[in-house]
Amino acid sequence: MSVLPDELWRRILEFGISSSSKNPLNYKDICCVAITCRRLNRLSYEDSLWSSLLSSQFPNYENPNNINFNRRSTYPSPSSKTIFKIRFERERERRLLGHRRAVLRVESQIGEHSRKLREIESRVMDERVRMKATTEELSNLLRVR
Amino acid sequence: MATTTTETKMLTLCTSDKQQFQIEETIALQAVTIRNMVEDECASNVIPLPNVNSKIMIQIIEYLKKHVDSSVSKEDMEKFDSAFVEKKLSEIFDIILAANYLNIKNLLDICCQRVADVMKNKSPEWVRRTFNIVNDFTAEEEAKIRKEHEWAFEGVDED
Repeated sequence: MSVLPDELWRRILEFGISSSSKNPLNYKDICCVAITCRRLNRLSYEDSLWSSLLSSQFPNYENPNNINFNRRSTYPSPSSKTIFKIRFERERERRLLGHRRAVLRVESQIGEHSRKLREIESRVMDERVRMKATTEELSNLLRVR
Repeated sequence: MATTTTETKMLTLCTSDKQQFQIEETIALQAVTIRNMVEDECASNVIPLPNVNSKIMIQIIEYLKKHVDSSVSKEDMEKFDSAFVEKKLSEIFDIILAANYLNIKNLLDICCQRVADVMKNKSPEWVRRTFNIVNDFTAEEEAKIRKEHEWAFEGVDED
């Protein structure tokens, strides 16, 4: 791996994430590359890489370049990787909340059904008692006759 | 322009290990670097390629010979390309270097793609082993970097 100069490694990573490849590399693969060694760590942070990953992963968000352009005068713009991480975690939080809501919904359905079940059970008990009473009454009547 | 049109013009490529390869000019000119050399110094027919050895040159010529043939269908060419890159990674790296030096864009592209494909869905350890990467982080640095990247590896599956 050390034989290749930086420019060629950059090219490999760019090719990897491009949508033209059959099975493109995603944020996870690029983060994995970042952990391997210093040199690939440096190359994996390249802003162009992450800005492409941003637009493929979050096509509905505003293009970060536009945001950066507006803010450039006051704040240094965050790196595309930072923006990606923030959006990714926000998305994950949103999905988690969605899952939680779904779980709550199911739980309340279960509660409702159990309540009905208990109602039915108590009604069955009542009916049983009444049936017993009626049977007794009937047998008394028969005896009297 | 002294050569007659009926005769196929040949070029001689001289590799780093002083091997000479006689190939048709039309095949060789697909490499932009060779084309520039021919255009600039039209006197000599021997092209020195000190950055490419004969082992790699043989493979590059195989690739160029296929790609100069306009009768090959797009589908067959893709088949050829995907079979061509089924080589050891060390060899692919050498071809990448040579293709970059010779400026053969599509060869460079398919080899870069091949390397990228190898990295798909793998662990950092696997990538290190496969590419012979020496982990030059200290234990503390690695722990810190792993921590910084935790967000990418944990939690809810994607929808």
